[in-house]
Amino acid sequence: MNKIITTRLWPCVGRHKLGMLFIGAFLLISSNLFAQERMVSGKISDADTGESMPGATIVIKGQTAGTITDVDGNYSLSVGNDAVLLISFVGYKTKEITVGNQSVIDVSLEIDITQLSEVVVVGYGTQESKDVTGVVSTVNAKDFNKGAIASADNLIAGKVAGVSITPSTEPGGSPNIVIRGVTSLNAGAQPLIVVDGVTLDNTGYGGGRNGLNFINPSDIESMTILKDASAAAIYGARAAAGVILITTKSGKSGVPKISYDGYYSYSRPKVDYGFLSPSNFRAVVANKAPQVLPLLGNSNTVWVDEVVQPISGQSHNVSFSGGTDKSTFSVSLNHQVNNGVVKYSKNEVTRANVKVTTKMLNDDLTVSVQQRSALSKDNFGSVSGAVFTFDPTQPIYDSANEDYGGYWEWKQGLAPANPVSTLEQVKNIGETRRNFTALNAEYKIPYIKGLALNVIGSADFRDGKSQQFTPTTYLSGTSNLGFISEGAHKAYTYNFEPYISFKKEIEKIETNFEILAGYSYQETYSESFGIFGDDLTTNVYGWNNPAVIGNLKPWEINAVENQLQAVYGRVNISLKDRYLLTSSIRYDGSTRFGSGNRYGVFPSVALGWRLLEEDFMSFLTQTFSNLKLRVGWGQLGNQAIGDYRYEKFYFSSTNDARYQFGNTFYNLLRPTGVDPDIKWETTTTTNIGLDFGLLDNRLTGTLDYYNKVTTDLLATVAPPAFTNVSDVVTTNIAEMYNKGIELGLNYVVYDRQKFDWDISFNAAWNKNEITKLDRGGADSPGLPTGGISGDVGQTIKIWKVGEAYDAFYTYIRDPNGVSSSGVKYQDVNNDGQINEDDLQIVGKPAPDVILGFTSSMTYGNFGLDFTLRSNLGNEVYNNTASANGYYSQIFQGGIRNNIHESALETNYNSRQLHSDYYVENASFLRMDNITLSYNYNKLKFLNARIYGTVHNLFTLSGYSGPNPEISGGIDNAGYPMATTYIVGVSLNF
Amino acid sequence: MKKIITTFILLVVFTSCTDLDLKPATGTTANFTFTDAFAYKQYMGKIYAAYMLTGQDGPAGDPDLALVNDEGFTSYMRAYWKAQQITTDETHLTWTDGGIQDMNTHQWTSENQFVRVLYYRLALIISLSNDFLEQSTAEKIADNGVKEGEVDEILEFRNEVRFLRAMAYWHALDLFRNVPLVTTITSAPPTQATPDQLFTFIETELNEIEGLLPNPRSNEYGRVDKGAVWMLQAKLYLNAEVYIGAPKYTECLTAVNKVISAGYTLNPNYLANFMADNDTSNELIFNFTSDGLNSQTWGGTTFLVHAPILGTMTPEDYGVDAGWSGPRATKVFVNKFADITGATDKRAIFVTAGRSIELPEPNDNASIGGYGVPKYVNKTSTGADGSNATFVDTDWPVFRLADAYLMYAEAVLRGGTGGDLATALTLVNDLRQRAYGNASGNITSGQLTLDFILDERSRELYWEATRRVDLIRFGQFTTSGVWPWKGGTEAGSVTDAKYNIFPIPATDLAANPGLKQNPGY
Repeated sequence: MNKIITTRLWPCVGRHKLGMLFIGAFLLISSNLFAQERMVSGKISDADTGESMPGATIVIKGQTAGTITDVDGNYSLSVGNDAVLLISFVGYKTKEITVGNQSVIDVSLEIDITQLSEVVVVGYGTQESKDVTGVVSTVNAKDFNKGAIASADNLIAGKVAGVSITPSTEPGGSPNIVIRGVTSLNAGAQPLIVVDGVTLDNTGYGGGRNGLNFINPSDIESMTILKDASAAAIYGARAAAGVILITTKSGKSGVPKISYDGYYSYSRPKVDYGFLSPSNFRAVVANKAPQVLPLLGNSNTVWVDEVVQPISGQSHNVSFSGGTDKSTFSVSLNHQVNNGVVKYSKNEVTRANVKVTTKMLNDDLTVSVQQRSALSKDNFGSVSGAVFTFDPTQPIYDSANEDYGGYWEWKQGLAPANPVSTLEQVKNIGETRRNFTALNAEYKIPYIKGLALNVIGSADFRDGKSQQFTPTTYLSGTSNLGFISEGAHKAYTYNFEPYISFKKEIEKIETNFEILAGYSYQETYSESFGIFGDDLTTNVYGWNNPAVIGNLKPWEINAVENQLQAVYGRVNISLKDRYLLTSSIRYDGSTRFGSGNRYGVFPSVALGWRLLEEDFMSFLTQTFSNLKLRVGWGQLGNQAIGDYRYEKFYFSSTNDARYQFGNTFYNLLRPTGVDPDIKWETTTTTNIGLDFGLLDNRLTGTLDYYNKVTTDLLATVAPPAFTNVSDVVTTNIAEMYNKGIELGLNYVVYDRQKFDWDISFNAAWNKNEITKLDRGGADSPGLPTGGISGDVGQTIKIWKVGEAYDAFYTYIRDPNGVSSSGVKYQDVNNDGQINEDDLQIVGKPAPDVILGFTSSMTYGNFGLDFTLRSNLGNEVYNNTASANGYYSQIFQGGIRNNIHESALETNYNSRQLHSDYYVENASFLRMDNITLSYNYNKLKFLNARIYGTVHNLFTLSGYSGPNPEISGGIDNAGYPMATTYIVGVSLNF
Repeated sequence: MKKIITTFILLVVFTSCTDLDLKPATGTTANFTFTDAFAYKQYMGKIYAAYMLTGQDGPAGDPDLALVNDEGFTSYMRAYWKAQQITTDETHLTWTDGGIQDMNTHQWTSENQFVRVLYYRLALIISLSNDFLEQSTAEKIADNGVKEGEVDEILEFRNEVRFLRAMAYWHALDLFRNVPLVTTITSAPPTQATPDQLFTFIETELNEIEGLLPNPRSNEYGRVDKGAVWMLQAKLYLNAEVYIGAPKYTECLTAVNKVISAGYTLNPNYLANFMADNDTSNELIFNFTSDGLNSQTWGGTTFLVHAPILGTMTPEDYGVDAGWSGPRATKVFVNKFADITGATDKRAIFVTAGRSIELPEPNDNASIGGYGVPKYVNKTSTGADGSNATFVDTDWPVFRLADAYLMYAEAVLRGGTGGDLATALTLVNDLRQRAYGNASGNITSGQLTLDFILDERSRELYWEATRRVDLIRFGQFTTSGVWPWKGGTEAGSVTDAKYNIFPIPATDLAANPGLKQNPGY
């Protein structure tokens, strides 16, 4: 959704208000005042919000005389009787009022959706959207998702074409963000996050779930996604997976504002994982394994119901902002409790933010400083394994097992522990503090107009701890040694980015140009260390006293460091306001590569053509209100491969992995396996796009076609055996492309005073294919990948030339029948046996099409907003079903186990992990977010908004598991999805 | 204003342009690592340990191999034991991990993860050895600044590493036959050597280091000496007909004679060779060391002790805290003993109580099918428990004098010169007298046949990871010889001759397209 129309966003309007106040004052002082017959006065206000509008201009039609409104929106002006007032404000429709005999004229102005060209944030600066040539999508605060938002990524899910944000179902968890398809095999492929110009590094975020949790979502003013290479190339070696620019809110001059936002939430988990109920289990046992029947217990326990619960949560946010025309400030304090639907799991965040901006030296120097601190506490918990398979005929508690916490247990070697015992006795917490300080300074050199020096500097400290405790009353198998683990993590990232920009307009040739050149340095260090061990002598201290560990092991101190430095430049040229050129280049160096491949060059060039500015296109102006053609090309890199991958290093073993010579035990040295010639992954993107506006920009949109080719893809694969000191090395082996078409539409259905209705729709089609794989000849089946549970060492996906990334690779069930063992697969190559050669590609986890639909409606004081999201053409491998959906699991390993209900359909008696039965269409349509709100603005001192939101109201899908949206497409019954109901209030004083 | 501009320029100038050359804080490059003999010894230790342990963190956590994702599976000796035992008439393994049953039934493919462990472990041992030899050249030692007095010791390590590499190549020749012969670290995809080239390489290496290694039992415990070289030579030559189609029984006898006259003695207590204090047994020629506290792994002898403890057996009886209900005896193997109670031949240690000799359910751990064979235990010869109930102290006997005796007899029977039938009979009867406690089990010269040797090797060396090699040498592994579940049926059936060697893993065929798969796969 490339937003071209104006918004009612406060910061934007506020800036203009201030500006208009000055311009108006100037006009007032300098203009000649004509004959004055009498005074009219009045108040100018926003037609929509009723708020007064300082700085609005009132002039008499046909004259230069006029005035501007004061800070309360009031004006007074001398006029003649036949005067006509023109009342205007940037971004609003100008109104004409005939004075007649009125002496008090109050006017309310309506927003002009056609007028404004929005200013968008791009790397190292801003641009007017009309001048943008790259694929840049901005979502402003007004359009953010609403409700219980724990981290910034949740704000824009479903809002931008081609940007797939798979939210985590865990409280405070980390999402999977994919922009225009996967561009990396197994090197990191998450987009680069830039906060107010500072590139974030989230490594070393030990003990926490999501590195973005430190930013209070309500402090965010806008999020901008740089989708193509021409926009993102200025971020060079880290931009291949796209770039997300986060702009935070600043204070506004004027009366200080205090606001409070708070909500209460209630989450109901979705737990239809498909395991047999106790009574069904008994029936199946009676039918399929009658010899086991006497071994069953007498209880009826639905284990998952003992572990999962509906739960409430809450959030409180107070912000205070204001300022003068020289300085503004913004302060916020936030406390959020995100309780998990798995008992004991939660995420609790406390965030404080201060941002101060000040202008000095005749406003030539602008300095903005921000300090964000967050304390994030996580309690980890999950549903897995035994929660589903534990014998449903056994009780939770057993009074005979006092030594084991009173829980019923199998007490057998490889048997799982009682899941309720695991839930209640095994504790795993993390705590992370983050302190982010950033400085942005801009100095406009007074005697060279257009030249500015900029500095971005930041220090970002993360430290955290992780603690685990299992008492000796916890019996797992036959072992009850207890366990304590204490880990300490710390990391820091420093950024320093000086750059120069120069803007100039050459009127003679109707050309505007802007040049930017800069240097960038980033350093990240992270380390973790700790101790762990078992054989506890007592449980009384919990994790607080590691001295009770009988068998103590130190963690190896794991310290990694990396540095990046770069020089970059960009030139923007706008000729006659219709021919646009943007070209950038970045020369990036990273410590992650050997000296031969340490530096990379990432160029880009893009052209734009604003067709309506051409005389010979004037016939189009009847239809179009905006039409811009864009063509861009550029190269991006990916260096998220881990540190020190180019040179062999020798690491020592721990004390329990030593080897004995004589009577001495020697710690062992092992070299790391490396490819000394490892180099960047490079993504080359070509993009052709069209921005358009119809119906006076009531309907705006963008249409893009892209082709992204990634070469030198890195993967950790087996080198030829006998050559390297490791069986796997990370090396450049493949090429892949992503091609796609994206459409974003925004339509203002109504914009009447009482009734506003905006809808936006986005659709993205993407096709991905591996085109080269330096593994095997033409007849090689490809590289297996995608490890699954259910058996050791099994994979379900493959990388293969000519196929999509991570394609599912299985046997095909023979439609002609099933053998006595319950299985029959197609002998694809007709060689008389069923083996690996008969495996076939049957699907892929990435959707063909991603859709998003947002509706925002205001009627009087009521508002209704919703976001629908859909993925089409993606498959999920139901590993929960495949690992447990067979009858012989009922009695296996000497214990009774529940099975997945799919067995009733498949009749599989033995585990069939590689059956195509488990690869399912997982297309879905989800009501992500729906909010009904009421605005109460009758009070002078207070504007109140109350709202109710539902997250995940419904999901339509044919997929058999509880959640069709699985990152990577292998469903292992992760953290349960929940439907969350929220009631909240926003108060603005 | 000037101040601002000056500051800006100074900032840019002074902060820019580092060399971006970072070293990790917890590991070092070779030139910083190998500055004394101790560091080289730690690296040599890694190569020994690469046969037993699975990674740098005991028992698991930082694996050496990434291609198989259960670290416990990746212990070389654990995988080697399975390859030598569960493919044969001695042992059946009921586990259902992908690929296990295919090992029992001779149906493995190039995707089998246990075959992958064997192949990549050997490749790793060979590559680590090659790297060690590259890092320990006289030139490198000098460059790294090693003190003069420590240089000779490092050069001695090189001989041991060459032995470990030769042994890995012997395993590769035996298991895969057609593998690359690589002696340096390289990024060039290697091509396969012929069996003759591999054989010659191993033979030459062993001949060279024979004179360089210490005399038997004069090196530190756990490190190789001449005895290990002779045993490896004997095994290479005994199987030469299988490997290169040329008999080398005379060369075998030459090596065996050196072993027999080196001063090793049979341990009067047969089972003491497999106990937690077996480091004291004078019968054992070379062991991989194991320690419950300092050398933890889910493979090695920890596997050997735990896995054979079946559901009807009591783990504490064997010095450990759990049984893994795994390998068990086949009927064919049990019947190699005329009296299975152990009353006459004490080597028959079968656990029969509550169990059946038949194995109707090949993949049910809890099944009572198959007798237990608790040959390896974590108790000392005096009955004390090992240092840890989970990870065992029992060392892995790689070469044992009894094997040398039987090789002597076989090489003589197969026509080798340098030995005689009378000595052969004496040596075999030495083993039987120990087994029976008296001469009642002795055989006559007429009974000393090759068929007897094959059976006697089973009775003496059962579950010691030599059975597959023996059956192949006697032509009884695939196209002849039948035992339960061979070929996939309970009665058993013969299998294709291609199973005499394992396939090159598909992973390596993909990584190195120049490789040719072994025939039939």
